[in-house]
Order: sequence, then structure tokens, then C-alpha cells
Amino acid sequence: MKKIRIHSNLLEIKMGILAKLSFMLLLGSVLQLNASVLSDVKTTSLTNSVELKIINEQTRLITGTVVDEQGLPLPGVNVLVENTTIGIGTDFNGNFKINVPMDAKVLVFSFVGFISQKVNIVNLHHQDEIHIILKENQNILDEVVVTGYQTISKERATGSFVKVDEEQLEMRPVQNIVDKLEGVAAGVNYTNGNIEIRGKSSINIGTFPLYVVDGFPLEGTTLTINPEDVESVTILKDASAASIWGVRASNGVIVITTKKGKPGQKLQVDFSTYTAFTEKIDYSNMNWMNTSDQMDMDQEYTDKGWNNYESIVGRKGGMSLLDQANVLVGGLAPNGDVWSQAQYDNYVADLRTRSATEQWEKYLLRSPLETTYNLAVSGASDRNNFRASLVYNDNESASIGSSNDRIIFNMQDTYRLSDRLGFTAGINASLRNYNSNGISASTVYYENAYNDLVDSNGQTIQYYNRWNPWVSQEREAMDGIGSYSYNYLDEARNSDQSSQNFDVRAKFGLDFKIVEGLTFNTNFQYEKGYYNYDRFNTMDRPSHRIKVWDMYADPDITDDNGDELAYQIPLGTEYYYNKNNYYAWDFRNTLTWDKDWIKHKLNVFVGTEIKKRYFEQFNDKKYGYNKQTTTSVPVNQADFQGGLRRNWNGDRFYDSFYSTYNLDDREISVFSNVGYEFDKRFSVTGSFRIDQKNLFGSDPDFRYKPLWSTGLGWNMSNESFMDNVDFVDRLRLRATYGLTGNASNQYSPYAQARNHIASWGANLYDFLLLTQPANDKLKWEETTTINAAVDFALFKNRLNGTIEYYSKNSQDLLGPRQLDVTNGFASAVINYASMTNKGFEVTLNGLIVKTNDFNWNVGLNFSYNDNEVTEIEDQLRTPRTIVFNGKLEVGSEYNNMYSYNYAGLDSGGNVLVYNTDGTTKSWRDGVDEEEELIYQGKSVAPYYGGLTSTFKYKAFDLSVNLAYKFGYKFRNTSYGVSGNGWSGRSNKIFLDRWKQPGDELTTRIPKVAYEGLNPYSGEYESHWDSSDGDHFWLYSQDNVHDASYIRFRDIILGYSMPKKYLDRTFLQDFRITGQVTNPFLWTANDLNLDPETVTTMAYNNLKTFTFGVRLTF
Amino acid sequence: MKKQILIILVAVTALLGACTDPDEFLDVKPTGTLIPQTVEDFDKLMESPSTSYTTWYNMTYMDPDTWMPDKNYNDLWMNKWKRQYEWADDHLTADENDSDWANRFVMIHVYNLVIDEVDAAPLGKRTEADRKRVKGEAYAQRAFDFFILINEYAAHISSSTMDEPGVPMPLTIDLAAQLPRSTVGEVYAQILSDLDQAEIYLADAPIYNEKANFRPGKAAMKALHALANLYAGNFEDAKKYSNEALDLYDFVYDFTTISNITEGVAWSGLDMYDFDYSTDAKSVLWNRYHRWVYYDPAQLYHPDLVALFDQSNDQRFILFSSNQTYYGDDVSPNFVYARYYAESQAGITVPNLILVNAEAKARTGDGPGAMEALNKLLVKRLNNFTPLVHTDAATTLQTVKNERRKELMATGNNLIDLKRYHAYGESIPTFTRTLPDGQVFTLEPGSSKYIVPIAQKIKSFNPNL
Repeated sequence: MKKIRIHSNLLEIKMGILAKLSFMLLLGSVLQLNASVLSDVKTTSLTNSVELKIINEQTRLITGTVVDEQGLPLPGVNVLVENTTIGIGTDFNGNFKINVPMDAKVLVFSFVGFISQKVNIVNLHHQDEIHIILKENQNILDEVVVTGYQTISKERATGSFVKVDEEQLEMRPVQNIVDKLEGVAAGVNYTNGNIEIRGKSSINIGTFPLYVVDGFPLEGTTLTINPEDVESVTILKDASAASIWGVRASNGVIVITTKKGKPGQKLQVDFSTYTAFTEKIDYSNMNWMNTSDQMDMDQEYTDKGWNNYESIVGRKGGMSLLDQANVLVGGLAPNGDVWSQAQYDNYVADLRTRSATEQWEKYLLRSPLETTYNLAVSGASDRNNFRASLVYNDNESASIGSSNDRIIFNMQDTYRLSDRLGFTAGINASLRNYNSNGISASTVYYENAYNDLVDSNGQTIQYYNRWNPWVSQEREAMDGIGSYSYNYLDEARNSDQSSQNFDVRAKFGLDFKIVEGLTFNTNFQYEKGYYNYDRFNTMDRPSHRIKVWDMYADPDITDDNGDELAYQIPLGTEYYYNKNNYYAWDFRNTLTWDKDWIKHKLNVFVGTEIKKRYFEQFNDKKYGYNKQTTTSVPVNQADFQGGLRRNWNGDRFYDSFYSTYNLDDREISVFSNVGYEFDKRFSVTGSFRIDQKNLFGSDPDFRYKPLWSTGLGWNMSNESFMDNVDFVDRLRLRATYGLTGNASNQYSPYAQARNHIASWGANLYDFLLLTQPANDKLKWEETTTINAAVDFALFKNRLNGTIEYYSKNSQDLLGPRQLDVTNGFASAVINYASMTNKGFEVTLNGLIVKTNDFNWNVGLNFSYNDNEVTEIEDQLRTPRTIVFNGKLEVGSEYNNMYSYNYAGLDSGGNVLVYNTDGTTKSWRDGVDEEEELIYQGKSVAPYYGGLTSTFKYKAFDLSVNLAYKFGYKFRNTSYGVSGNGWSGRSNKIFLDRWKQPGDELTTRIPKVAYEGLNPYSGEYESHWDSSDGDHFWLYSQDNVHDASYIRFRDIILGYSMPKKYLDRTFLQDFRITGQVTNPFLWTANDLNLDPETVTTMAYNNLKTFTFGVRLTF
Repeated sequence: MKKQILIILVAVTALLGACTDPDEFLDVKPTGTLIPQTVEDFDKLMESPSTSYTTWYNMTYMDPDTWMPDKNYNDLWMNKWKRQYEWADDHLTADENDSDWANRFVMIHVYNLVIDEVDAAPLGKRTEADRKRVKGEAYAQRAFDFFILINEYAAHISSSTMDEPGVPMPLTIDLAAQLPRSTVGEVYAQILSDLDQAEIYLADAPIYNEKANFRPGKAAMKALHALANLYAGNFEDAKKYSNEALDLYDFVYDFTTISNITEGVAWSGLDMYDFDYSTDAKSVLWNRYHRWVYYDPAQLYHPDLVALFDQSNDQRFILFSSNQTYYGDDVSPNFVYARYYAESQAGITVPNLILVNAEAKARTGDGPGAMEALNKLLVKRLNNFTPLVHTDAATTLQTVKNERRKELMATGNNLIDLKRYHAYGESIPTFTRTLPDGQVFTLEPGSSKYIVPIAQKIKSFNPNL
């Protein structure tokens, strides 16, 4: 016997680095780390020494090289003497030397992803070199799916898994992995960064899927994942997902697998960089009236009696410039100033020339710019593989003053200590910094249309918007008080707000082969992180300055020591901070038993998992804070909290200080999977899981909840009768059935109360409030799911795809049901509804054209979901609640839309609605019957999907990605009501408002109501009618539109340098890309409104241009 | 092979080891929220200031002493206020909540929980004496809230109204109960029986809970006894209990020593802050606050009410009236109720108790005693006060009624008093209101318009109402 021992000192070096890195990361010295990671990794560069000890001299030496079809050397190829354990791996140049017994006959060359080759060595002479060319295994049957716990052959899986692979993921450079998933997979409904898998199966507990990263559920945000590290994403959609991942998985699971060093891979360095420019916000997309039209509308309010200037001046509050002018020309100014009509006219004419939106675009906004630099190093030997990566993002937001950056470090190392024992260690650390000093672009909505930021001399214009100018100037004249004026540009320039997120995940795993086929795995992951927010409001910040002046009292108020307390809020900086910490750990042990005999394959998997997640947060505030000395001036917090302090006007001032909150979630689970396959034709799977959580009480119904699934698969293409059907490469039928559950840790069968400690005047009360009544009938939400599918691949895999049907039956859904408050609660969460989601999904991939130079590939997915409420306990609903939230009704979909039946305007400009008999009535008569409403359709798309089309011509490729949704409606509430201009910008649609009798023949846009007598109708009106009456127009059929759309999400042009040029460089790969995001949008509605961003058209889905370079050496 | 079995056993043990004693691991409960189980928890449930949330708010504009002529009527920016002002059949739409109803019944649920469970509850950081006190308080609070409800939502108690519909009366916890309205007589019987229970359990309780005046002490309980008996027409009992209550606690603020921050400007507020929060007001025996906002919309004194005040001496008028609204609109020659940052009371105050005592005395033939009681209050209300003297029973009773109208104005009390006087068989006027558009509404004596209608929303949940 010969024994081959392989020695490596790599482990010790690696462990050292890992420990050092962990320590440094925890200290937060990320920049230092940045440098040291690279240097350390480079210096260690795989100094494997391979040493062979030959015990038996009866051997001969065989040498050779292994290359791939392109002639590139293949390192790490397993070279084995057949029917023995004698073997060796090839080195980095694909060379091997092996001493084989004299009687050895056959050498087997095997390597993952390649077809194994046997070579007869009987006739080989001593010192002969053999040259092996391994062929890549392109057999699609080797595809695998990753459930997070296991990697299983797609041919044995019965559940609904969709895999998005590396190539598809790499196409779209974005900073959040979630954004890569839009339109790429059937059943995955992406809306503005949120993902819903196969419709809603919970009303109240949330519809977010569970994210699993390299085998562990992600507790933090997906922003801690470097999208460049992601190798594949697998989406688990049916009951088998939840029965593997437990309660949290009932909305589906998104399993993210990160890249690892590939066996036998040489040291490889990947570098990529992207820069993305987004177009600047253009307020004209909001369709607001221009300054002059807005002023006409504002004047109409005054003319119709909305503004009682005597009272407005008496209220002392801030006034618009137009109102100030009206006060002055009306002789109502408290200081006796009066304007002549000419003065007034000139002033108003000047206001008409100004534009707040133009100046905001100029001074407060910019084109967002995002830059990404990514560096990854990976490598492997036959026993070890590792990958380390670092990404840096530098982003400038649309608001000047707001920016963020991010660093993510990720490292994974796998090492096989012996044939039986292997271990994996990994660490992921991310640091995110945010500056939020810009003014949100949408704030301008509330700014008067003529409020320029800067005058012709470049000076910021000062506005009195806290108090009117006369009151403000009176206050400013007092000793000890400075300016009361405000300007958004000054506010932004003097803002000092920042936050920081830091997250670390570290994990360690061992796998031990107990006997052949039986493996024990133990894995532990620890997460820790914080989020800190700091805001320093200095006296230079107008909002803070004004607050301090407001609380400046007569100096005769004294504190406990008899000192004057003129400044009830200490002069100086206000420091507010919010600190959040969390840690979580997850410990899992599993046993896997694989057994193959003759035509049978059995896989049994059992495991336990124990988890804990702890979260705490607190916030506090300091006044008179000195950033340098870190000292602050104490205030009487009880007085501030109890509202015992008043401002100079006598208004009570409330403030809050320290508050805290924590959360301790614990869970213990037991789970098992069994898979059996016969003859590569039939497979049966089964799985179950029991989750126990630290919910209130110990009701077994809450603690012990078995979730299970079972499945069948039939590989029809492996049947003998299919042997003659050449064009079919794969045909597989599969089906699953299972039970999933959903529980919220907020609700329990017992009455719950929350503790409060609150000031109420001079008293501090420590008391409890009942938050939840006792409800012993409370149960888990349950969903049974049937999934049936056909997978197929035809014409040498030129066309492949999946067609799936599912039916989800959800029962005992929890919801906040309104109750008769007479019994003590106005609402309570109870199990009150059942609903079904049925649908089908089609995924097709076709290589339509394939020539030497030109390939055209199309990927298409289509989803249909039909949701129906099947059971509902009586609900209080009124026409008003229905137009707002839809009608929860048996036989109808959950997300539906109803409208008032608007009948236009009468000759007095009043809003009319139709009665059920076709006659009309005034809105004042109310709409009391549900029958008076019109059904408009679904409000969530039943049809949706995506299409990816990729053209490759020589070194160039062009991809077009689009996403679509059809069959639903949206309501355009962006118009607001005619009285909106009073508090915000008016939509252009109100240019067509009713003004005088006769207008009702040409317009359906309501008038500005009269405050008092409407001379045309002879009725008394109130300015409130402009919101109360307009409500019936705003929520009418006039403002409901077809929401169908096709969104060209992006067009990407890429160039990959051909191998023949690369060979002249040190590069292995070189690719440049240019991308335009959101180039076009087709909408079914003729107003060209983006149904997903109706009220934020100017701010979302803007065109973005991205340029990128990716290289490997 | 043996070795392999051993290894498997070790592995399985390790596997199971991960979940030893799961209950111990899982029994850690989240903080901040809890299942109320102990006497301490129940005591803290009773300590909530929400106990005193707005009371009788529905009656603000029903009260004939509230006056909203033309322009001011248009300032009523909530529809329900207009409906109140019109004494309409429904005040609220099918979507609107009735906070008066909800505030009371939400707490009645808590009192029922306490009464049901406190006997068997572990003590927590409390004593056996606390257990008795908490239970007694729960009975007393339930009695008070039913008293408040029955007077708002039902006919006034009299021999002819005993069987008329009162309010539903949940006495145990049942979220699905659809209770019909108990009769006026049943509700009063429950109130008195709860008070009797409370009296037993609160025998050793403090006289007055100064820190949490929404929780009853012995004086408050006696005061409710007095009030309930007065309302039910048991004037002798009303006298007895009000005497006992006043013997225990009789603190009244002296308005003659209080002034506005800016003299002569009622809207500047008071130069003392005890009324800012009624939890700080020592004259409040059993707190159920009515309102804290009187400035928007401006609310006018009815001219008849103005005429009752000695405008130059009555501090109640001087401190709380103005010819101008808070925002400076001139309403001369009328007056707005200029109460700024001083919560008004629908609960039981010492002045109210004194007035109950005076009325009970006046109605039981003790005219001089009634005047004596009244003088105790008025000396703290009027500058240059000359004590009143009893001349005849009718004048004394009318004097007491007038003082009650002034002292308790703008809290809903006046509406209930008018209803009450009619139930006693005394004559009250017919009131008339004219809207800016010329519509006229009247409120006849004994009309059901004195009763606040039960909200549509509540009725839609419970067909038995």
C-alpha cells in the first residue's frame, strides 16, 4: 500500500488573516483593512507544497498535462488510478506527475463541469507524457438548484425553483441585488424595489419574501450584499420552500449564493467599475400650474371669501407674499403701513415673473451620480479555495448635500482537512455612510410658486414663514433675539445630519463524513451591526434658530437656582441622536445520508436549528451641545415632556428625550427532507419542519406548528419510449402539495398591554394600556399550495422552459377587523378571511439564431395570478372606505377598485353624482349605498412578466430588457382637490375648472367653492366643500385609468475583447458596457402617466446612463 | 463497525444537544409589552390618564347656552358640530367614530377585566390592601362611566322613564357581545350597586388621589353618590352624601386672586397653570375632562347667559370672556368664551359638589343651608361679594340653578340640567335657533333631541341597539 500525504501551511496563514480581519472589522478600521487585505492575500498567494511519499517501490511514474478544448491548462483536475484511492491533482499549469503501481491499467481524469475521461496506461512507456483534452460537460441534466440548505440536482427536485444565473445577473449593474430581479423570473412581481412572489397570501403579516444568503437567512438589509459577489439567485415559490425554511418563508424564499473560488482555479483578480448618471429632476413633469396661473387661483380663493385677512393677521402665523400684499393694500397691516394700488400691482406683476421650481432645480438639485469600484481575488488548490472581494460605492443624490457611500468586504474560505473533514469560514462586513443634508425634491410642492431662493444679486431671499412679518420684526427688535427669517437654501447649507450603518456577518462550518454517504454538518453564523443617526442643528440653521427665538421668554422666568431663564431652549446646537444595535446568531446541525444502489437513489436530510436575534434602539436629545467639548446644557426634561413650557405666544411646547425599545426573538426548529429517485425516472420528495418561537404564552397551537410538503417527479424523457424522440432533451413533470403557515409575533391569544411612562402636566404616570384583547380563538394563518409543472428542453436545448400551475389556498388570515367599541376594542386582529391565489407561469428561453458570429437569445416570462377572497367575516364598510381601500368581498379579488359614479357639474358648479336609477343628485346628499359605486377592476396586475432579448455579434452584445404588467387599473390622485392650492401646488388640470354657468357643458373639473353665498346657485357654501365635494370627483371614474404598461427597463451594449487579443495581454477577460436605464415607457393610459409612480412622476424612474468596465487577470 | 455506530451516536447527540430544553430558551419574553396578570398590572391599567379622556363632547353645540350666530356658525368646520347645533337626529356619518362613547366603553372593558381577575391575581409589587383598593376603584369607575353615558345617551331618570332604553351595559368581557340597551332603571340600579361594592372595598382608601385625580378617593365616591341621587330625585340622599363628601374634601380655587397674564385680556390665559391640565387642578374631585380648545371655532355666550353674570365683579366672566376671538375678530357687543389652556370638566369638581349640596338643601326645605353652601363658592368667584340670604324657596332654588349654569357653563352640564329639571316637572323654555340661510330649529321641553343619538357606526355593528 502507498499512502499519499499532502501537506499545506495555507490553513494556518488563512486562519491568521481571518482572525486579524475579523478583529479589525469589529474595530471598524475598514480603510486600513482595505489595504491590508490586499497585501496579505497577495503575499500568501498559495504556497502549496505537495509532497509525495512513496512506500512501495514497485511503481512507475506517469506524467502529463490536462487542457480544455481551447488548449488552456486545467489546474486541479483529479487524476485517479481506477478502483484505487491513489490520486493527485494537476498543478496550475495543468501538469501532473503520478506514481502508479506497476499493475495499474487505467487512469481517470475528472473535473467538475467536464466529462470524465479514462486513459489506458498499460502500454505506456516509462517517461511517456500523456496529453489529455477534457471536454466541457454541456449536458443540461447536470443543472442544480440551491435551496439554501442543500444543492440538489434539478432532475430530482420536485418543487418550484427558478434560478437566475450569473450571466443574467451580471448584465445589469445595480447597487441593490433586488433590482436585478425585475422581470427576470416568472411569479416574481417587482414594484419599486419590493418583491411579491405569487400574489398576496397574507393580508396583515407582510408579503416580503425571506432572503437567504449562503445558507443563512438574512437579518439585515439586502444592501449589505455586494451584487458583484452574487453567483446565482434561486427563487423558491411553492410549499416546499416554506417547509424547508419555516414560518418566515410563506411568502417565498430568495436564495442568494455568492461566488467562491472554483476548484483548481489559479489566482484570479476581477476588477470592475461603473459610473451611472441619472438625469436631473424636471419639475415640469409634475404638471403644476405656472406661477402666474397659480397666483390667479390663489387670488380666486381671496375673491371667494376664503381669506379673512383680519383674522389671518390676528393668527400671527407666516403668510405668503401675495397675502402680505393683500394685507398691505387693504390697510390691515398692524404697523399701519398701507400700499397704493399701483404699488400692489407692480409687486404682484413682479411675483408673476418668479419661479420657485426653476430655482430649486438650479440651487438645490443636481444629476445623481453613482460610482462603483469592485475588486475580487479568488483562487484555489485541490484542497482549498477562497475568494475575497471589496466593493466601494460613492453616490451623490439628486438633492445637493445628500450623498452616501458604501464599502462591503466579503471573504470565504473552504478547506478540506482530510477526506472526511472540511471546513468553511466566511466574513462579510459592510459600512454605509449617509449624509442627508439636502432638501427633499418634493418639498417644493408646499412652497409658494413665486418663492425664489436667490435674488438677482445672488443673495438668499429671506422669508418670514413662522410668523407674519410684523410680528417677526417686533420679535427681532428685542434684545437677545436674532433673525426670524427662513430660506431653504440656508436650511440645506447649514444642515448637519448623517447616519452610519455597520453590519458584520461571520460564519463557520464543518462537514464531517461519518461513513460513506453519511455526512454531518455544523454551521454557526453570528451577525452584529449598528445604525447611528446624528443631527446637529446649529444656530445657523434657520429652523433651529427660529425655534430658540420662539422659546425666548420674558427674562423674569427663573430656574430652580433663581437664575434667569430667558432662553428656555439653551442657545447653541441641538443634538439629536438615534442608536440601534442588533446581534443575531444561528446554529444549525444537519445529517445527510446519500445512498445509491442499483437503480435507487435515496437522500435523507435531518437537522436542527436554533436562532436568536436581539435588537435595541434608543434616542435622546441634547441642547446647547458643543461638538468640540461634547458638553451640553441641561434642561428640565419633565417640563418639556409634559408641555409645561410655552413659547412667547403662549403656545405649549412639547419635546421628547430619551426613549428606548428592544426586541428578543428566539426560534428553535427541527426539519427533515427525504428524496428518493428510481431509475432516473421517478422521484418522490417529502419535507417537514417544526418551528418553535418565543411567542407569548405556551399555547401549543402557537409553539409547535408542523409545516410539510410532498412532491412527485417524472422524467419522461428518460423513458424508453422517448428514446426515438430526438428533438426532446428533457421532459419532466413534477408536482408538490404542502402546508405552510404564517404567524406574527405581535398577536397572541392573551390580552396584552404596553407600559408607558408619560408626563401629563406636572405629573408623571407609570401606566399600562391594553393593546390587544384576549382572543383564545386566535390561530396561525395557513396556506395549502398545489404546484404542478412541466420542464422541457428541446432541439439540443435551443428552446427550454417551464410551465407551472399553482393554487394557494390561504385560511384563517389575520386582519384588523373593526369591532363594536362598546365591548372595549374598536378593532382587533383576528383570523377573519380566506383567499385563494391561482395562476400559472411560463418561462421560455430560446436561442433563436445561432451562427458562428451571430446569436440571438430570447428569454421570456409570463405570470398570471388570480386572487379571490373566499371567506370573510362581516366587515363594516361604507362607500367612502370602499373607494379608499377597495371592497373586501367574497368572490372578488383582494385588491379591487371602486369609484363614485360622477355625473359632472350643475349650473352652479356643484359636483353631481348618479343615483342607481340614472338620476343625478348633489354630492351633499351623500353616497350611502354601495350599489351607487362603479366597479373599476383590479388594482394589482394579474398579468405581468419580463422579456430579455440578447444579440451577440462577434465581440459585441446587445441586451434589451423589458418588464410589463397588464389587466389592472390605477387611480390618479395626483390632482388633489381644487382647494389644494391653499396648501400646495395646484395641478394644471384646474386651469379648466368651472368658473361660471355654462362651463359645465365643457368641463367636469370642479370649481373653487365659495365661502358663503354662491351667487349662481343661491346656496350657501363653505371652503371645506372644495375638499368634501371634490372628493366625489377625485374618486370617480374620471380619474381611473388602465394601468397596463411595458417598461423598457434597460438597453445594454457590451463589448468583450476576443481571446486572440486578450492573449497578447495579461488579461483573461475584458469587457466594457454602456447602458441606458428607463429609456422608454409605453402606457395604456393616454395621459402618459407612469402607473407605478403617479404622484412622483418627476422623481422616479428617471433615465440613467451607466458605463462600466470589467476585467479579469 | 462499532466505531461507526459510536460516531453516529455522538453526532445524533450533538444534533439533539442543540435543542435541549427548548422551553427555557424560548420562555424569554419580549420587553415593553406584557400580559396583565398581577395586582400591580391591574393597578397600572387603572393609572392611565386615558381614563379621563374627553367627556360629553357631543353636547358642546347642543347646549342652548352656546350661541353661534351667522358668521360664527360658518366657522363650524366640522359637520358634526353643525348637526349638534341643529339638534339633528344623527350627528355622525356612518364612517365617523363617537369618541364620547368609545372613551368610556374602552375603559369599562378594563374595569370588567380587573373585577373579573383581580381576586385570583398574584400580587406583584403590591399588597393585599392594594388588591382591595384596585377592585373597589374598578367598581367605582364603572359606576361613574355608566353614569356619564346614561345621562348623555338616554332620557333622564324619572318614574315614567325607568323602562326607556338606556345604554348597553357590558359587565364581563365578551368582544362579540351584541348587547341591547339596558333600561334607564337597570343602569341606575347597576350604578348604585357598583357604588355600594366600591364603598366596601374602598373603606380604607385615601380621601383624595391628588396625583391621579381621575381615580376616585373616598370623597369622589361620596360625591358620585350625591350626584346620582340628585339626578334620580332622591334629594335627601343627595344632601347626605354631598355633606359627607364635602366634609372629606372641599378645596376650591379662589378666582378673586387669579388674573389673566395680561390683565383684561382673557386670551392671554391665567397667571396660574393648575388648570392647564385638569390632572393638576386640585378642585377636580374625579377627573373626566370635557375640552381644552375653545378658540377654534370661537364659541359665543348666549346673550341670556351673559345677562346672568355680574360682568364687573364675576371673575368667571372677567377671566374667561372677550369681545374678540382668539384671532382678533371683533364680536361686540357679544362675548366669546375665552378659555385658553384651561381644561374644562365634565367630571366631578368641588364647585359642582357644592352646587349639588346647595340644590339638595334647597329642594329639601333647607333654604338657608343652600345659601350658606352657595356663599362658600361665590366668595371665591366674585369680587366685592356680599353673602346671599335666603328669602323664599323658589328664589333660592332659582339662584342655585343660575349659579350652576354659570359655574358649569360650556361643559354639557347645562343641557343635562335642563333635561333633569323637566323630568322633575319644572318648566323650562323652548329654545330656537336660526341658521344663516334662514332655517329654524327648535328644542322643545322633554324632546328626544335632548338625548345624544347613538352613532350609526355603532348601530351597524350591533343590530340590537
